Amino acid sequence: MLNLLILAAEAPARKWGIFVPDDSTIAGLFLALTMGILVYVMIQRARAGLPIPEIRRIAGLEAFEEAVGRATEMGRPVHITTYYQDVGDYDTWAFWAYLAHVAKLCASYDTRIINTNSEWLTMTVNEEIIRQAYLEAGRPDAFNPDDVRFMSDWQFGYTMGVAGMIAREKPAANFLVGYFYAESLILAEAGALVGAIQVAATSSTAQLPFFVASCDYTMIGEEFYAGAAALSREPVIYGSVVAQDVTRVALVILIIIGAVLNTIGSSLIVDMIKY
Amino acid sequence: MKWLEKLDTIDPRWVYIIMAVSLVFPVLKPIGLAITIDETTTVPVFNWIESLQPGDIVVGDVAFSGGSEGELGPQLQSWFRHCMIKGVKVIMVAQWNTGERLGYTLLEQVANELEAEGISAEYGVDWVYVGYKPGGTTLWRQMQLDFWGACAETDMLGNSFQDLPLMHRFKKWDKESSKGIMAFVAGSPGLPTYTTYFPDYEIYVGNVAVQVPGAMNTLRAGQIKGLLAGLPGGAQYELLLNRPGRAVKLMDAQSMGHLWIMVLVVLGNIGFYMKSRARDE
Amino acid sequence: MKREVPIVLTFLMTLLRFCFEMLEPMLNYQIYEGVTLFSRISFSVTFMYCMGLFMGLINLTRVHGNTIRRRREHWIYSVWLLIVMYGYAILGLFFGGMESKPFTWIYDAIIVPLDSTMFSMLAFFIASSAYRAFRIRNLESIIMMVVAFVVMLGNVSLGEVIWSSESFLGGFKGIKDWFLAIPNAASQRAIGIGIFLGSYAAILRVALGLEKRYLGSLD
Repeated sequence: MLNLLILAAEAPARKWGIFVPDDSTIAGLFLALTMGILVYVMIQRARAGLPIPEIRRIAGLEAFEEAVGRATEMGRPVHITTYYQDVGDYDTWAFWAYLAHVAKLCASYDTRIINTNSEWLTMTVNEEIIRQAYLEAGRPDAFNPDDVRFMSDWQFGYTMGVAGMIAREKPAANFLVGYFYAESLILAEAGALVGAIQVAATSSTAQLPFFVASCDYTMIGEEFYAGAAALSREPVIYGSVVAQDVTRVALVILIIIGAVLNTIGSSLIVDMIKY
Repeated sequence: MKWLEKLDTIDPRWVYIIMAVSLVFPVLKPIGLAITIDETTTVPVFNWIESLQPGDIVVGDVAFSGGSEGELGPQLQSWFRHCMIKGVKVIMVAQWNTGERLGYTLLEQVANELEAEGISAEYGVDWVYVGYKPGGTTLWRQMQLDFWGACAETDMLGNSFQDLPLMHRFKKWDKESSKGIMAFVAGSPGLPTYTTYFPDYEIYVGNVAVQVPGAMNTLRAGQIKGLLAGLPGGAQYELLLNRPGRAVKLMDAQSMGHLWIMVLVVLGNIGFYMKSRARDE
Repeated sequence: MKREVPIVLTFLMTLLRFCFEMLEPMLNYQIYEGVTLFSRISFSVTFMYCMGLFMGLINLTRVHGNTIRRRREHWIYSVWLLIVMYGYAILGLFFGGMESKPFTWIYDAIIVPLDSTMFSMLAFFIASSAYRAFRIRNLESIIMMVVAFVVMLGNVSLGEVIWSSESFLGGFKGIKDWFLAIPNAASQRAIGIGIFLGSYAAILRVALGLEKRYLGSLD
């Protein structure tokens, strides 16, 4: 009987005639379109050389140079890795900016760089990035393709491979850049045990405490993306980071207004967001 | 007091050995420390199953692998046991292919135990293990519209849905056909699949402890209705069900492990302070 | 064409997926009786996942085959990897599938315990990491240590013994719950909003064809 009543009940009406009648459809669409337009405008402005807000200095980026310098002085290699390396993932694209930067530094200082991978397709791109860096530094012979290694796509196979490599090669600098899961602490501890200076940059909030505890420097959440933008110096990425910041400010204002209104009993902002 | 300064640089091997002893000893010789039931996280999950009627269908998701089995395995088993005792029907999916087989093994164990006790847990009638289907969140979205089509009408064992009586009541994954979702998650893909694509459903989560801080804001926002937090969550659920098992047994070990970490931190700081003082002098 | 075609395809598929989520007529659009466009596309995604698995198999074979052929360092492990990979696949495909005893035994007796063992190393590493890192150097580190202790004790039975949840302030558990519910939730949301904006901007760049690094281009 209950099922018949449910079947007979009127389905919720579409919003504005065509949109799915779920919560936040229109609000989500509005935010998506607004941010899309903003990203496009800022990118075009950046490409045209028009003035756009500057990205502030990100302190964590200096740690990369310091670490590579230390490795050069000690005559030990530099290691850089990320676990979640799907080639279509935005964390991987951000990682490539850091990889290019570190590879350029290593090439110019003539320091060995080891890159370990959990994804074969991304490994081929990484190899190309490092090779290019050595080419641009005028040291194409110094590039060693055997230092770009595929470990395993199984989480702990990769982890053990990297931990073992760190124990054997004893890098002086260990860069953990990208999205990590449970292997984060094992990798960081492996680096700590050989006395490496460790810099982490991740958007994985669950692993942040482990990185903060075991690394010398940690770039948190969006600093990771902004750092990639600052390193790449590409108008495309620069412009989109500025657009993100503008959207963020707008969201903060919305949150404050919503909190105040909600406190005095008005659910205007909540209803707007749920529309 | 030179020896106090040495506390700043304890050999990691001693750290590991004492940690091993503090974890293993309470398992072999339980201490019996009391376990408090959490009213805000565990009790809502328990009450949800208690409130269901025999014959109601719920969907469970195995989104973990062997590494998280220690925390999520007991949660999964006690939740499933509760469902079978109440006569609630369970359909299991798996977002992780590495956890698919593991989830089935855990549930099969419980089903066999319940059958031996005379409680019905017949495969195909009381529960079905659909398992992992490749396709990511797009497929999960498709399951909402046409579950049979999305799953190619077969379960993990290769049985056709036509031969499984329970599946005839579950053609679409919508709010009418299922009375809630219980996702056991250890990473990605996991909870965001449900908070994004199943926003109006009753979602309950079994989480590894490291992800509980991240899940708390979804609990407070009402996106999820209850949360089993790591091993303590599993132990609490076992106690609520009055069937203490593996999770309860391991809680003492967790306490001792935590105690050793705290002792280590204190010792390290004593050593650090003594060294700084000696350096200043 | 090698770059233009994927970029156009990416844009079209992103737009299509977006429309499916937003527009109900699109979601329910039937290409023929009883079959929606969305269901056909989601099946094609499933096929792509399977093809991805296949490609991974081929490339793993190629990478490790090269290692064996060139006798690079630790090439013997590559031999073992190929034996295990193909052996397990053949076992599953031709000798009884998921229900066959050898297949399930290998999974239950080797893969699961190995996974658990590796995961359990975290317990030891967190001890050494906490010991090394939690030094009282300034006010922030004192706060971090105190909060860490309270949350640790709030999570375990030992905390209940020391300060019961039925007493003042709810004991360690009560304070832990407050920490998780208020400061933690606030910071998680803030970081989450930032991460969402970053990832959405990245997706927009790809959809609009402004980001080409995923195609192997270095510019």
